[in-house]
Amino acid sequence: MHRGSLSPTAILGGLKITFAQFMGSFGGRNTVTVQYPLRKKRMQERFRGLHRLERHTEGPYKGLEKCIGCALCAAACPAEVITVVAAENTDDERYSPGERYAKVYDMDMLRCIFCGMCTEACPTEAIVMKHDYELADDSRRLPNKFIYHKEDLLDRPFHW
Amino acid sequence: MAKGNPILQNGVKSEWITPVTTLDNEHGIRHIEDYEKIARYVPEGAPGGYRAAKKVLQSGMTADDIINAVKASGIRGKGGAGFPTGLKWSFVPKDNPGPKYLVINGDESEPGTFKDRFILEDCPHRLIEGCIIAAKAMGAHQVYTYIRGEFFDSIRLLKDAVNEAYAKGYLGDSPFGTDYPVHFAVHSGAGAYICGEETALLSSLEGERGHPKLKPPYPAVEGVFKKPTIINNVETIAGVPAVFDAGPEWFTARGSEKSPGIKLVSVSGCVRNPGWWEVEYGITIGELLDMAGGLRPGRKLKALIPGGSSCPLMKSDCPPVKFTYEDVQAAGSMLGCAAMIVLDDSVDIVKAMGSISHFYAHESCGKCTPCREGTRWFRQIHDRIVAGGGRMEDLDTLIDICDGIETKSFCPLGDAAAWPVRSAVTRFREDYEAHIRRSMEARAAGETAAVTAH
Amino acid sequence: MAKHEIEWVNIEVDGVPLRVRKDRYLLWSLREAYYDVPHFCAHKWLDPPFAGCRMCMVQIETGGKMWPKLQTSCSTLPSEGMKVYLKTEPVVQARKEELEFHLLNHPLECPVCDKGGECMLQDQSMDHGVSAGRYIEEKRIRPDAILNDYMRMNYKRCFHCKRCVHYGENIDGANLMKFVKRGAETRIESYPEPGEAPRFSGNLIDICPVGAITARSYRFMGRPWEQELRHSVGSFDSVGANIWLCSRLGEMARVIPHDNDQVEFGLIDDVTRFAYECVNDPRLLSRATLRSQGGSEQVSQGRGESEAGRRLAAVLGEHGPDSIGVLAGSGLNSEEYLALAKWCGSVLGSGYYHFGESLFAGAAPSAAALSSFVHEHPGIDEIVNASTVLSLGCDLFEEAPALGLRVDIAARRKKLKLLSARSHRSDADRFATLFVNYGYHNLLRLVRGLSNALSGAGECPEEFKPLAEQLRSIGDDCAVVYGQEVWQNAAPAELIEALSALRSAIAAANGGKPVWLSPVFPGVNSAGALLLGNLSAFGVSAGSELKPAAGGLKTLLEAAASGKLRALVIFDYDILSTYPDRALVRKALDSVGLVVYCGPFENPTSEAAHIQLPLGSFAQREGTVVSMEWRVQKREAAVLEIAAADVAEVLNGLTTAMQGAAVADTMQGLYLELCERLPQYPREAFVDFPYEGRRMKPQLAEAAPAQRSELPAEFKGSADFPLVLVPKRFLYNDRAEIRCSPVFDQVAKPFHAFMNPQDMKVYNLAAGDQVELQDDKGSSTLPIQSASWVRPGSVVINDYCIAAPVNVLAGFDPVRVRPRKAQPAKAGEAALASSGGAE
Repeated sequence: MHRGSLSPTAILGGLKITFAQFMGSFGGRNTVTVQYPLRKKRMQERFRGLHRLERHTEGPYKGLEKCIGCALCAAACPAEVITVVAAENTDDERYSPGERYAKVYDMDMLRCIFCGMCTEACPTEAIVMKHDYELADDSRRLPNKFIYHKEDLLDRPFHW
Repeated sequence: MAKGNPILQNGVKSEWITPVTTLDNEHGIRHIEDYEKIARYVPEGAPGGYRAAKKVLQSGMTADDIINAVKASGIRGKGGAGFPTGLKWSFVPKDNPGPKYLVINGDESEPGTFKDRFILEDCPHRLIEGCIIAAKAMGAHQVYTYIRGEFFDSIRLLKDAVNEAYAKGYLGDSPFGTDYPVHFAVHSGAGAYICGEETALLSSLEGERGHPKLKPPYPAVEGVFKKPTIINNVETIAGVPAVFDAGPEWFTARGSEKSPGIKLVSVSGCVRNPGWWEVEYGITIGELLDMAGGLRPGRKLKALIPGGSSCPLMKSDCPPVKFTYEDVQAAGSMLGCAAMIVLDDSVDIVKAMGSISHFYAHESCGKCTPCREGTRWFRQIHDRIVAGGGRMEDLDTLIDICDGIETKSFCPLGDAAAWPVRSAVTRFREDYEAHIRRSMEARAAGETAAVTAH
Repeated sequence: MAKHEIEWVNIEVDGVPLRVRKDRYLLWSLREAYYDVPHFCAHKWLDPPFAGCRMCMVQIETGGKMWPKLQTSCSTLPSEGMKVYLKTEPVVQARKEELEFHLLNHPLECPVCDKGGECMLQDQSMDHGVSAGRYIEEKRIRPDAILNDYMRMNYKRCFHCKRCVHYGENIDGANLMKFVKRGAETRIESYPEPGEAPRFSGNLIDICPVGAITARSYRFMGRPWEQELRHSVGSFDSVGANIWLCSRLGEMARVIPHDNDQVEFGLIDDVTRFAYECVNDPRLLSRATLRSQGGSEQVSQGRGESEAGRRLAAVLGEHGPDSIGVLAGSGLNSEEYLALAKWCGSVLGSGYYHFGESLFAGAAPSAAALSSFVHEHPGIDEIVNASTVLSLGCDLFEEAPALGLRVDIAARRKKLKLLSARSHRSDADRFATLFVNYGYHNLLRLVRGLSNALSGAGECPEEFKPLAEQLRSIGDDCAVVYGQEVWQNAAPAELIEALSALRSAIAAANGGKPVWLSPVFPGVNSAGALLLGNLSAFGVSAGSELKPAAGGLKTLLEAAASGKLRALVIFDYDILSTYPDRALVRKALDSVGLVVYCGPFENPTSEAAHIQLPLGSFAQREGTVVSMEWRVQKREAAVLEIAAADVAEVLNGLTTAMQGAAVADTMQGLYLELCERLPQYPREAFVDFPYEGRRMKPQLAEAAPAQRSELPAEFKGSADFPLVLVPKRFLYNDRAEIRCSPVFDQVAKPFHAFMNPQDMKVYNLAAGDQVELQDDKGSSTLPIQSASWVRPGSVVINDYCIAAPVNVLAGFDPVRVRPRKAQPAKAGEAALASSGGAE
């Protein structure tokens, strides 16, 4: 509008914000950069990171795996990441409530597209996606470090 | 039947069934050993006496003559469906070369009915005589009588009577000296309501599980042992000799146009003098109630089931209704096998329906899904409501279950289970609601108490 | 083949006109026309309909009047002008209601259920169900149970469609499942026959619409959608039952029928269904074995092949052509036979080769017999739809189970008249109008007698006359089926000629109505072996690379035993245990300097070999096979992790070692070559060969059977050896696939000697005794079992039993034996007893 007349007040008004941001960064109040890997950013609640297999935490099944080996996650997976081999629980060797459990639960994380369909499909909410995103590793030769086995996914320590 | 002898109290003076039951007045016990022996049935002067059978067999009446006489009398099946008997007999294919069978349905299992038992125990020769005539009419030489398994005495007495008839030469290879052999076998069921259904009865008679069979082929074409078979109720057949004794006009003169003749009615429930009566069709329900001694003092009629537990309940305004197939149907129920169950206001309809649904859940044969699962569900819902766990939406569920069973079950047992429930829930909904409301209040109070206790 | 004119009527379905068969229930016509009518209790095998699930209800209008009630389409026959409604409100509502009833007591455990993904209830609840249940009462619960060796029953999943009970009552007659109690408390209990091996029980798994009946071996093996399906053919009989080989993660998961209505109609036997387990078993060979005086050595397949090739080349170099014999069992594919025949001609230069089992008592096939195979031959459909089936000397349930069951069903429904003649009774003739027991080895007497009676010339023994009367009054088409007792006869060619003459006599007695003659071959590709093993007989010009076979199996074995042959190469043929003349085989194997055995499993023959090479099992080799009705069908290889060689690959390996270079034959190439050499062989795209197969008719001149009417003398026990030995083929025997499948470990196999209780009393024997059967050649010891189906005066034994080989005694010539209670177990017999009494 007033192309020819740029008033000093307006300029100063604009610079005030810049200056305040600049000064604020010294106190850490306005810092957006995280000192990764010394510090890690807290992800949003619904962030879809590395999967984890859950256990029952209360009730009569406390301590047992939630996974029943139904392989619906594998069926839902668009990238064919998951391989499930089911087996039967016995009274001596019980992994999950009911008769069926996953003897093998492998995920090929090289293929995973983190779409979350597996967690949608899971009838027992056994597989969930947590916030771990540091999935780099150093070997694709056997044993392929990108294939996460059941023991890797189950009881996986959850850092932040 | 502990109190008083109801038999000759009221109703029509019986022309064709002569009850000779005696009663030990001191103990109020009926001596069923004292059934009508052949000696008492046969002499001149007494009605019956195998004269009708003798006449039919010796006079050379053709099958068509017999069937026409029965048709003219207008006798309808007394087992519940009310199908014209003469018409049924005429369905037997005449040109079929193989054997044909007459099967008598004595599997009287409907709660509330005890008419066939009376005939079997008190005047079995009536039945045997009727069987001889019916066998001749349809060309059968073998009669099977299928008696309910729990009727130990009836089976024994009928067997005795059959032996008497064989000894006298009324049954056997040449009854009454004719060359038309008629043999009679008494078979006892194993105590299943479903075996009153004709095809299930045939399955049971063949030694199979009592499952109803697919129709067609109808039993008249392919029945027991895959041969043409007529299945008639005990009472129907016991009435046949009278057609030839008294003539068809005797029947048509009585009752209404569509329901001619007479009927044995069993009355039970909350009446002062339960029992059975032989009445003309067309008598009103109120009159029947009076015959049974009326209600107990101070009690009002609450509900009435006119034809055995499978018929829809009628409300307390039913006494003026005439006791004929068509009038009862117009009043929203069914005559069924004329087993009137009277419920007065001391009766909790929900509990009464609970016990009826227990009966049907127990008796469903399990062949078809709606009846098997629906009757069990009925029972569970009623149990829960009675136990105080009712919810208002259960009433809609009950109606929905009725929808799912009625006309969709394989045989009429499903309908029989659903009709009383539907009629109870629609006509006595306030009873159900009151029951549920009470228990809901009790639950709420219990919860409040639990909360305040903490 | 339609015997009667099919009547058609026109109906309207939701306003769309449709022409349907008049004698067919609506449900099936509607489904055939791709209308979706849900149903649970109806099944194409089950007749009459049960009409218990009430899911298939439709609304029907005739003559402008709507029927008052909905009708179950599974039990309603169509009539002209009938209008059927599938989508009206009452129908949709009824389906919803009935489905709710079905789901009331059904647990929500689809994720762990083996049927999940192929479950009818699951499908229907997706289509018609409501997503939320309102059933808050207690569900029916009952713990699982084991039905028999193969199956388990999950009672809480059962929704009482009762198909399984009806299957037991109306289809296989085994009555494994029965109702107990009634109403909602109805339970279905199983009543397995102790000590009897189930024959058709596995079909219950298919017929159960939900996951109530599941296979124990398939438990938690994986989801249907995860499996790789390959089409194959039941490999243990010659019916050619169509199956799917399902594998997952490189392992066999299960076998399910492929529902070819022209062949097995979806009904397969338990051996076909469960024998796949041997493919997963560690006993499946993957390495070669070299045996020498010093012991045996496991080597790689390549090393084994080069060693075998080297030694074969040495034999060939030393002794020239016609010094190496080649044998192959009846389980190979036609392409493999062709490869073998070519190998014999071009590499070995040998005419000593024989394919398939010994159909002609070791002799070369006679022209008249081959002609009868080709020219008088019915298809399975024609046998099943014939008005009369005459089964001669063959137990269809044991030898051709799928065909036997179809014939049995038709006989039960009185759609055909089954006439049966055998040396002992069997389940297979339970619905036979007439059964004639002629005593073992008197089949020729029977056949000639029947021909004589029908033609009115010559004598016929009195006991056969009723059968002749039945045959005289057939009045319609008739199929004559014969089997094992012909193949085990001393003179099968003569017998087949007599059968052929009987066929003509029956046709003549019935006014020229079609009469067929059908052999039941012992192996899956016996017909192919016959064809490819006798190419010259079928008019194929041999050329330089195909030498005509130098006679039958016996000629070959005798040549080996006499030292003419210096090496034997055997492909998947346990000849030592199955060839009737065991002494000859033993001598042949001992006389040749080199025996190379190539097969998927170890067996007595392979153990006698110097070099044992692995071969793919029936599920791993691709190719076409020819069934008993000359139906050419393709067997595909299941998708497995373990690599397996087929015959062509083995031959390539051997030839490379022998000559330094090999023709790289592939199955596809061999198939094309086969089609070229044999123009009648159905030529299709090999990659997607039609699964239902193509019937062929080999080109062969018709040869009239010799007319002979003299009756041989009746064969009976003698004073010294009073009992006649009957080597019977059983479904369960010692074939490697059954031996190496863990699923059969607990199954009671018929490795007994069966005797009539009458005879057992005479010889003072009790069931379970070890009995030594002696004849003048030797003896064999077996546990004895009493069986009323055995004809008095004979003793029946399993013809393939490694522990107590029958062929010690049995030759092609009839054998008489004397039973004797064996002494308490000697060391050598202990093993025999334990494996014999396996139940």
